Amino acid sequence: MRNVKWTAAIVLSIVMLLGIVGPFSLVKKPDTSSAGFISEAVEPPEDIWAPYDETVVITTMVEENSGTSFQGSDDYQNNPWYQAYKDRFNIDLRNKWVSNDYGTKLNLAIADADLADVFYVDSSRLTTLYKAGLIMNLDDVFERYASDTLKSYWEENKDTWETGCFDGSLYGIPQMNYGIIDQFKYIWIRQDWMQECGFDAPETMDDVIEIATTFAEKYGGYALPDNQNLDIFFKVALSWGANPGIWVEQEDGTLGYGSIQPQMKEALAQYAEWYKEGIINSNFTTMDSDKMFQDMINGNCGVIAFDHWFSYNPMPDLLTNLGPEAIFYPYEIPTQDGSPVKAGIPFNNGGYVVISSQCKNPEAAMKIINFFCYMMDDAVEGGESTEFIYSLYDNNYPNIVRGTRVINPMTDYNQYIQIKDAVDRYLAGEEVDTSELGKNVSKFNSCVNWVENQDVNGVGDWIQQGNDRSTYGIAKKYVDNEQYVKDAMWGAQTPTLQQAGSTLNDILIEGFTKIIIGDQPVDYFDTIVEQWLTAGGSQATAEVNETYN
Amino acid sequence: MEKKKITVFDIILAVGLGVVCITCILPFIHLLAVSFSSSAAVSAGKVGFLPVEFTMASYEYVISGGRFLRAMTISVERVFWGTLLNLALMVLTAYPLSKDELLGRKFFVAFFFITMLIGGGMIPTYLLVSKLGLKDTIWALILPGAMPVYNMIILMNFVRGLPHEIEEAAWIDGANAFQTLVLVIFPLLGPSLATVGLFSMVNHWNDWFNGMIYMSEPLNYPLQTYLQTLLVDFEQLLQSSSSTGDIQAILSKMSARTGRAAQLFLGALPIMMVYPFLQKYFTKGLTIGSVKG
Amino acid sequence: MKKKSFAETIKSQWQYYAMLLPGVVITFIFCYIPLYGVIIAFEDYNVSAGFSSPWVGLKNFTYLFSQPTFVRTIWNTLFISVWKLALGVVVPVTFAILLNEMRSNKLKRFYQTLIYIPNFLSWIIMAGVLMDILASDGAINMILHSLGFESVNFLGSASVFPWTMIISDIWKGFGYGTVVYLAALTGIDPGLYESAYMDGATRWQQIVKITIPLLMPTIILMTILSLGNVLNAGFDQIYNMYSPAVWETGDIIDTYVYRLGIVQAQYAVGAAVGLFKSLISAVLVIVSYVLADKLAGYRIL
Repeated sequence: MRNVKWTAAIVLSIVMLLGIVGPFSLVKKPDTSSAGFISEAVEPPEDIWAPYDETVVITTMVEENSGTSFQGSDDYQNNPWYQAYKDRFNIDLRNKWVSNDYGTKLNLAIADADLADVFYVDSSRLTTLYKAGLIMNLDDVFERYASDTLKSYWEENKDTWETGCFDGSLYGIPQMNYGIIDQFKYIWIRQDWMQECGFDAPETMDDVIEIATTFAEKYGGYALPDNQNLDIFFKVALSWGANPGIWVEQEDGTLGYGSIQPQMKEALAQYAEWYKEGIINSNFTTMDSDKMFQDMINGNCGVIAFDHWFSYNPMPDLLTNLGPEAIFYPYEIPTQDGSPVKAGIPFNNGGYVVISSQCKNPEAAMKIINFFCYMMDDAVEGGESTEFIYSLYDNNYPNIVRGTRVINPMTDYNQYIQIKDAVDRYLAGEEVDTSELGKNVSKFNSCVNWVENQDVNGVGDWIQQGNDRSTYGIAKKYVDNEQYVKDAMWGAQTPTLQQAGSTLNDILIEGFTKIIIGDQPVDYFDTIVEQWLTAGGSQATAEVNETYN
Repeated sequence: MEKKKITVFDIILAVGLGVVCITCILPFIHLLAVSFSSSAAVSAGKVGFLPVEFTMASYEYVISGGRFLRAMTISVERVFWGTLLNLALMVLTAYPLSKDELLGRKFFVAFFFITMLIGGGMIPTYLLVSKLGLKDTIWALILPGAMPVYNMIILMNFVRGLPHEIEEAAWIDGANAFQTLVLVIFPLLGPSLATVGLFSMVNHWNDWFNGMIYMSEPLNYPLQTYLQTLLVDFEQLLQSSSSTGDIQAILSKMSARTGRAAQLFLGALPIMMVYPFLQKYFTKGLTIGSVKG
Repeated sequence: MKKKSFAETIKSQWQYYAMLLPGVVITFIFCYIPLYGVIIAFEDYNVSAGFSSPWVGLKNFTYLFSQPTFVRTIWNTLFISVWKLALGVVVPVTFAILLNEMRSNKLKRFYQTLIYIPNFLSWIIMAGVLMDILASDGAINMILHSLGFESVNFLGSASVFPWTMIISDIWKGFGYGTVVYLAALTGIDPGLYESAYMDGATRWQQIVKITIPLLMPTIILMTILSLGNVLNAGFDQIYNMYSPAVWETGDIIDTYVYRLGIVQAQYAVGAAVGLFKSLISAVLVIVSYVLADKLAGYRIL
């Protein structure tokens, strides 16, 4: 009898424990969670900009972005974008989930066959979903419901659009990016030192080295930095006409991988020589980007080859530490033979918007995409109020709709023209009507803030667009003169490249490092290439030629 | 115990161990200093063990918006129920498995031990939790790891080390197995329960991955999952080139490193405060009332 | 005592089985049911086809072993983790014994708190701190310099790097083991020491004759349990501190597979590696278990 009582007591206490936890838990199921949201098909109106008669519910999956700064009671479900869909189209967009590890969550959702109506994917998942028949053929819905603005992106970027098609039919709408104007590389030089030493803008790589070594002799530290990923080397290599990291057409008309071409060997030979002479930081192999920048911030180095975003990171910290005179300006990378430098432009598409084959109202998804394009390109002309535009664009709110937007690849290019013009007028003492700048007004304000207050938070925008010597100013020239090489592999990676993954890159990085630090002679380059080819490189080359040539 | 004389050996021991212990907390102090320093000072590598250009910006950023507190309460809830369930299952399993005479004991030990060597991976586990309808409930965070085998085996060995006479005395009094466990064995488990309980708590507290995959709604994230989302991806911020206003002012002072330091410190603080409290139990209680072996 | 029949035994032990039931059920559901997932190690897995992806037999394994640098990662893994394992026993045991020898209980408790603190810090953070301290101009090299030694390239030299990993891992983790061994030490009857003291045994003799033998079962238990992890040489730690210059000696299985980073085949290759590691550790654990049982007479399970 007692046995039974004891058993009962223990079982009961476990059951009670379990019973209490559930109902009183703080964790509440959201109303669109795993149970799934069943949306009804609703007759769409004739005019693509008109609202539905009755509310249409569609679902999406959201990538959380820590840069978004929600105001008041806004969140990923309640925000001006979602409100605008409701107000303008009578569309109720619901989040199935929000996650900062979008890739993992999406894989799990695919495995669980629990997908939202509209969401974004990368190119390899696009293929997976297409093969599994989980996403919709968008030919008809795009033809009928895409706005003229969206269609103009298609007209102007057919090569990118192709990458979202299978057998000539559109399955994923390429989201593109802010434009190739942000893909170029520069030599950055510290201005106060440059003036003190009386240098002019460098015209050859020898000039760059002379400037850098003079700085090191005069102010201490070392001439050129680099990090363990050889990030700087790969930019300097452009000077030899090398195209590291992308596939380019060779003299014989076939496609070859830029990192294994003879130009790289020449660049390596010179770079190893520089290392031996002590021009390159002797500790670079143990430095990651943070450590490398740390040295720059401390004033150990006055020259670096880097991307446009050097002016956003680490420049503000650098100026806080060393004073505003220490500002770095961007210069073109000079080439060995004096010919114009050609930057490699990797395929850089922000993803693909896809629509689930289960979706009842695909045209509603198109309307949402249309609305983003409209707000990006035509809002000011469309007579939208400044407050409304700000409410959608300030505080990084465009990140909220990361999964349902398509970006005009001329965005940054056009923005540069507009901002540069406004800044010039401002500097000339004219009145600038900021309302005509629309969503770009904050860039303008940052530039003004730098000029008037030397506010380091504005220096990024200033060097990117406002200054006479700006990254986008140089890049605009590159773009206008078509002074770049597009990656011949314009689209998804071939199977071998996906399979071999980083193995191929590892071989190159490890080998290049050995050559640079003098563990191996320059001719070791040929051995590395041999290894690269046997580890899958030759097969990859064959595939790339077959698919993209 | 009677007083023994303090020798030179004792002093050397105390000082020597003290030095080792200090090296253990230096990183933590460094972290604390970083979290209170300005981003410029940190990225210049100027911060050692004292804050440079003191600022609370990182903390303001992490705590602002009220989500921090909510995530903290969810974590507390999870740690409480999760640890309780862990302890209950561990004790219930470890006690019978400590009995050599238990028929099929080897089978059961192997049954549990195998799970330490092989697992099915993330996807099947996720599908199971999803099919059971546990997604978006606190159960998804508690049940899959409800049986910590490693710690159970440690506990089992503690139980086996207890003198048999204690139990025999209880049996003679007519107690059954449940009574013996609850009334006799359980009170003797103090130090070992405190030990494995601490491990359980730390595991539940530090786990961010399950919160990420099983919760659809960021409002339901436990603290570590929430803090994980704050790891500012600088490139991501740059791509969204329209940032402005207050947040930019805060971000400018808070580089990824200072923010991370603040989040880490805040995230570790509660569990660290529990630790000394639990530690009291490590060092007392096992011998109380036991029969000498 | 007369031998009981099978039925009688079950009947007299039913309460034990009742206690085991919840743990067995939970473990079966959450650990055994998902085990069907290991089949993806033999498949050309893609998430949409799920577990009925095309069967490819041992292709994922042959693929891995045909990679030029995979075998070297196995040796690196073994080297690093065997040393971690050995020192991971010696250091905490020594420390626990020394702590136990301390007179002041307050100080002892305080020290115990301090050494556990690194366990609260993740390797991402710890790596950042260590990279500062171990840099060529970092604190440790400063000290070496002032003592007249040459500076050491702790993170950039292929011959030093594995040792940097081993020692820093021990330093970060020894608080955990110390806690376990201290808990075991509190279980030792103080009477034993007292009578030894009466007999005139020195502290050293007490340690050798009483403490260590009584600690042995726990040591063996912890060692065998950690053998299950022998192929996990510490991904978080090494990933955050290594660089191409030290791949020769510092690239371990997990970092290598992570770099493979293949979106598509990741799960299949990952599962293949997981299975490979499971097999090796199962063999090691069983062998060590049998050895401990047969040679030393310790049964830990």
